[in-house]
Amino acid sequence: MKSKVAVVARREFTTTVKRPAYLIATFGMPVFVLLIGAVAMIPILAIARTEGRPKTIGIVDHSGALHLTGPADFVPDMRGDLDKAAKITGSVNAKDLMEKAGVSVSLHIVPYGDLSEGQQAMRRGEITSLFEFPPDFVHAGRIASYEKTGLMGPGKGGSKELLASFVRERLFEARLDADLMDRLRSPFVVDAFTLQKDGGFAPQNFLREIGAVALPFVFCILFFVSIMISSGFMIQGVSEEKENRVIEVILSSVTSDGLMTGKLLGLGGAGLLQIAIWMVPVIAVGSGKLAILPFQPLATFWSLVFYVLGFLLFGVLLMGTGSLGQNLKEVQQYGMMWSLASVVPIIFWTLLVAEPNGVLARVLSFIPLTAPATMFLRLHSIDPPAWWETALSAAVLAVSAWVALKLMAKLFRVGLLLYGKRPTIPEILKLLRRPA
Amino acid sequence: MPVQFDQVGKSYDAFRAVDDVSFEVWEGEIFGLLGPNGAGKTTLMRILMDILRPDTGRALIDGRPSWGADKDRIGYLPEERGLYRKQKVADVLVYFGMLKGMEAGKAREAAQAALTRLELQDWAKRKVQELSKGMQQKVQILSTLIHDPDLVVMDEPFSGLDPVNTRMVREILVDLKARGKIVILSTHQMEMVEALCDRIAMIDRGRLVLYGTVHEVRRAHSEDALLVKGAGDWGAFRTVRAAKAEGEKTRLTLAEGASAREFLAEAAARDAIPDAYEAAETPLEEIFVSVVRKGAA
Repeated sequence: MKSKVAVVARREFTTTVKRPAYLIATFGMPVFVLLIGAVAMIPILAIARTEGRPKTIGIVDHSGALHLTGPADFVPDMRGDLDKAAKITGSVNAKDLMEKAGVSVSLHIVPYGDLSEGQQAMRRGEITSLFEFPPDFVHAGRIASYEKTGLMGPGKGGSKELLASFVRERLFEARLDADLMDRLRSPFVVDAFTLQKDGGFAPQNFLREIGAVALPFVFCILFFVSIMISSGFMIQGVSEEKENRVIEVILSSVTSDGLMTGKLLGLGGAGLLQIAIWMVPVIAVGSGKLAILPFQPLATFWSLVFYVLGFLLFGVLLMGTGSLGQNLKEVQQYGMMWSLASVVPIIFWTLLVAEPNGVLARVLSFIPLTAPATMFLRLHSIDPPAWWETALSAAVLAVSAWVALKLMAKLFRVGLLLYGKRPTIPEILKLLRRPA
Repeated sequence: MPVQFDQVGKSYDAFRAVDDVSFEVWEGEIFGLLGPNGAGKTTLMRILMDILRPDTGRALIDGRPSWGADKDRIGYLPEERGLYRKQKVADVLVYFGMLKGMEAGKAREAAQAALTRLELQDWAKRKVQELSKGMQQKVQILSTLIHDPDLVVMDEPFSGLDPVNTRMVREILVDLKARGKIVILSTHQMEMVEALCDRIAMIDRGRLVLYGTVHEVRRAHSEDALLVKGAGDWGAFRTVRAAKAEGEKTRLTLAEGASAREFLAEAAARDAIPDAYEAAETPLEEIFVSVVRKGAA
């Protein structure tokens, strides 16, 4: 019997991967996405170039509060941001990285004697913005700005915030001592500690916490994409036998369980291969960024177990109910039902992230359709579930997949023999109960 | 691997498709499963193939229930014809062979030999959908036989075939029988049944209405009639009710209560002894029609 499952699986796999539509989608998609990405990068790069350069602005200071005697350069204090970036990236050279990425920001400030002189400079293109500080500025706190472009023009990002920092420094420079000036520039840098299970406190693991959300998210996306992609192949596979009317011949050679398992493995394999090929450029581009997250072998192992079991369960359900459809369109509608069910944990995502061991998370871990996505999240959380809970959830999922295979094989067998006849719900229930 | 239907019954909701049917099929025979459309033949074949399960009774293959039978030794040509239309002819045959437990290499060799036998070797690498209906029918028959099964079940194997191909398939069936295989054949072509089948079972409205050798069934349903050769005013005989020419021969229906011996005595008395004579058997087609009509009445 096993060898017949292999024969079916091999045929389904090879015929699917040789189809022109499969080859075009598999190899065309990464090229297409890269092209779209490249086109999308053009305006981003153009803006980044403008944003990266020091912004030259003009100031007409009638109040004298800014003490401008000539052109000045201003670089804001970024200690807080750099410290956070260093913790996230795990790199002490965060400043270099930010500079390389063109994130560095600074202002080049040119003072003008009066408004018309500044406006002339803007007309000549020497400055992008001009700010007029009235004589009562310190009292009223209101200034006028003259801009080269409207709200959304290039080079707009952050120049007002920078100017505000510059003004703050200039106003207090003469009145505060060095330490207070330093606190004004950078109020604090945080060293965070988190309460541990043993009651003690340990330095907060920034990367671990990001990993607790990012890694399950990656698994979830992969899982849903796998189901969506493979369901397309499985649906085609179910209607193929029906449309070619070969099911009687096939069932005289292999049991419906065997046929279904073979199709599931072959078509599912083709779907997974496609995703793996799509992942190559993603990994090539993104592995550097993901690699900084701490790798957790046990959570990854269990996630893969849930991934495979969940994939099998959804595949079996898709194929069993899909066989009741009379044509590709109807089969797709039946398939859609399960694909939607797999998305349910996403609705509760925020709740699950907040309380990975709460009642809701525990309940969803033991409902076969929601178990995979829920467990991806729980396994990677800071406080993962006990081993027995993980094993029990996996066992429930495995048993459900096996029971579903047996029930759906029955439906599959009868469903495929129903030519031109649409069964009603009572008929379906009857089909599941009787031998065949 | 003899086949046995033992009090098999199957209903679809209120409709009784097969009702308490029992018969056997033996090794080395071609067995005709006859009956009008909707009589229950296909249901019986599907039960034998374990595509359907009976409500009552059981179908046995080699003494074991059909669901536990070795599917690799069975070949099935269903009523519902179908091949993977977008695949190459040879690939389809190899796949069906492998599903019956053949190794890929052996299945490929067998497919090539079978295609050559039915003069389809040049089509091996073409897609099934490029073939004519008759050619597809031949490929379908080959797919049933590629693994050299011991039990072959065929539903209307001659439909869609021209006379040349019909003869080819007929030769294949005779060859199977000669090699001790069992062939169960469902067809409406009665002349084919008379020519090929050793025994038959006829199903009507789900029930077994005829069962036995072709000769027995024909004899049992023949009126007292003789086929005679020679000249004679047969119609004027006291022992003859009707005389009807059938080619070189004349079919004589004997008068009520008259026997062949009395006819011969009368012929001798009239000095009109026929050149040859034999007991006439009613053609299966007539038996078929009369049984179905009787059932409907």
